[in-house]
Amino acid sequence: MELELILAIAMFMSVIAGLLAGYPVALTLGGVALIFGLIGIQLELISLPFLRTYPGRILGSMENQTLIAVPLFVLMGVILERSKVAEDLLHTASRLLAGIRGGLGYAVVIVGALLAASTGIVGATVVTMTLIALPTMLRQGYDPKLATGTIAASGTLGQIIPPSIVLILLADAISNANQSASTKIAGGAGTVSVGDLFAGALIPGLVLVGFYLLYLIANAILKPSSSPSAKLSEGDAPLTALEIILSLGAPLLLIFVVLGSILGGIASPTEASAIGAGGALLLAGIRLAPEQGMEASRRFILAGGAGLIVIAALSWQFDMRLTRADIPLAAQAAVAASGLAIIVFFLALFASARVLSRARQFKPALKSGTEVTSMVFLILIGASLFSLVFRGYGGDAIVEDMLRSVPGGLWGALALTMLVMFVLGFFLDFIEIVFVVVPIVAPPLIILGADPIWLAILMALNLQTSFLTPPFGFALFYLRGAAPDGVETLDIWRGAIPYIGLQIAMILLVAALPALATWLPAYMQ
Amino acid sequence: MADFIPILGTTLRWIGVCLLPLGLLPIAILIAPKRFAGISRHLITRLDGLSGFALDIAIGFSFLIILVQLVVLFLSNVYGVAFSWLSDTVIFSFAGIFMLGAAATLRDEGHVRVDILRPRFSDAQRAIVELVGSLGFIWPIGLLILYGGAASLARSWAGLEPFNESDGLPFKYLFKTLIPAFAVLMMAQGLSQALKAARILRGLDEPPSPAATHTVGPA
Repeated sequence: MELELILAIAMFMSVIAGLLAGYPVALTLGGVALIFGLIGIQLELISLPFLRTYPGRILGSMENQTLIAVPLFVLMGVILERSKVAEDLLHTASRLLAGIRGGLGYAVVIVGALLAASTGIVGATVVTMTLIALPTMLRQGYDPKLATGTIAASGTLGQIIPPSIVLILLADAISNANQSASTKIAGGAGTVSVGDLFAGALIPGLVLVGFYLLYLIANAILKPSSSPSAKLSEGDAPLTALEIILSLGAPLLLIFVVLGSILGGIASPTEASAIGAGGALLLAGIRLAPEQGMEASRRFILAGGAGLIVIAALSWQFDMRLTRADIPLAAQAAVAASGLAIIVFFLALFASARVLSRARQFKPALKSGTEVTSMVFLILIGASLFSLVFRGYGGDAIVEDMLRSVPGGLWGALALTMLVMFVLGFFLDFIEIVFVVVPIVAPPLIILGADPIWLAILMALNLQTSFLTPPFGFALFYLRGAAPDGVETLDIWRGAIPYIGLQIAMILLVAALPALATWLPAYMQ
Repeated sequence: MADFIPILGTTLRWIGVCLLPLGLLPIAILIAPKRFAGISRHLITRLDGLSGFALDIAIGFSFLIILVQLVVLFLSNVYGVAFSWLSDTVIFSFAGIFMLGAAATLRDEGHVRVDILRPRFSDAQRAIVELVGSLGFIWPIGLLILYGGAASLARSWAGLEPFNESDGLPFKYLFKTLIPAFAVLMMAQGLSQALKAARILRGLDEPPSPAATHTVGPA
């Protein structure tokens, strides 16, 4: 036991050293674990057949139904980003709100929340907003600290506002943890679905957006010079209603359909993610068609979008199940009409693909979606080898004993876990922490009495804060990378501090009032 | 057919064993850079091309998964019918995206790294990290996957194992073959990365400019 404990700790330390050397995280996790696995075999602490189960675990990830939503949401995000739909959203919102004092700040927070709900990719959101909004905000006389802090904080909303990709991964990890915990305490094995976590994150996410807005309003009132109202430049024509509907309304509609169908229990997250990806493709086609002089394609794609509404309306009105014995005439007609609408919808998808190809964005978008997906899943593959060896050494039992012996029961163990995750968040991103740390710490915490959904939301808020905390916060790195010259790093750090305060307030609020996270999931059931 | 499969498997294994010494080529470059300059450049082009070929298939799967998942959605939610072979196509595309795309993502610097000390390293230090990681991490993991999965894969091929349901796709053995394909692709790209690092260390190539590398952020 002693030797195993030393080796488990040595493995953890070696992984951290390897990570700091800068080799890709996924491969470092797996490679270091394998070396320690071979040491364990030599010392007869781990058996070779145990290591040989590894390919079977990879197969398990390949067959994981929950995670199918990940590539689809990633594709939705990259398509919206590549086709400038995300960019238009920010432009329109900031021009609508520019006249109000502090309006650009509100626009950044609101668009950050919307982009979070549509793309969920922190790096992309922060970079997009930094490139578009930051120069304007600075030109209009915004305090650089306030401007950069607002952009970085709004960019991290992608983690907590559904349909966040990391919430899907977290749902899978927490659900497994909950099952292994309930076998130990002989409780009812409740699974935690992706829908549960999305519902659980919605209220805390929206409250957090409210906090951000209140902070900006307070700033505009108390320090008017920090957030002035913006003046439109001479050449800008006023927005037409059509522009507003297309650039603001269309993404809003897509988000509403995707989130609404998950939270309303109409579609599974995987099904909704397919709608999201298909819808994003249609929006991209509509957005890019005029530039390519493909007006006919644009009208056809609009018809395809309308087809989707026809399908939804028909299936709401009629029972079109083909498995019934005799189908009434009206339903037969509905089946034919919806079939036609489905065909138009798919042809519109291909028309959009053609528009994107013409704009040279189709293959690049799919390529970037494929590579982001590969990045996520290689971490899963590497982390599963790490967990395998770590458990081979009894590392999970060691962690469990440690968490049980922390004074203060659940609250003490929770505080320790949160602190460790917060520090790990400085050099690991959310995905790695979900795959490596959550499977180890979540079962003992659930055994100590933590509600799995509540625990997951606290972890998500905690990591979101970590990404915002200087000097290592990821969001700050992205902002630094995309910010114009003349923006001081120290200003970026100072600007983040008030938002870190708001985040901590939110964490304490959810900790004190678990209902914020657990009420909506329970209500949905 | 039944006789042919074990012969194919054994042949592939021996081809693999014969190719293993290629892992020494990066070290050979360190010892005699001039002698191996031409062959290593040729090999890098070929290996990067192999990853690119696999990436193109993965990209195809990424479009296919959108279309087929939508078909599944319409069929089940509108018409109340489900076909296992369609769901199998979705899961095949899903796994195909990352099992075939991971190697090219390595080539294109798409896998996340910890960027705390790395910016302060010299080009030579980075090349050493790359060389050690490729041969010390990727190759052992790849060999474990190939070795650990061989027996169950052989059984799957011997029975031409179909997907679980009776109306499922008839080739689960191809789905399971994605695992060794992933291992081989990663080892091939790992070799290519190691060769590039060794060439930089011996001054045969310039290190890539910082602008050419990017990291994918926390999602």
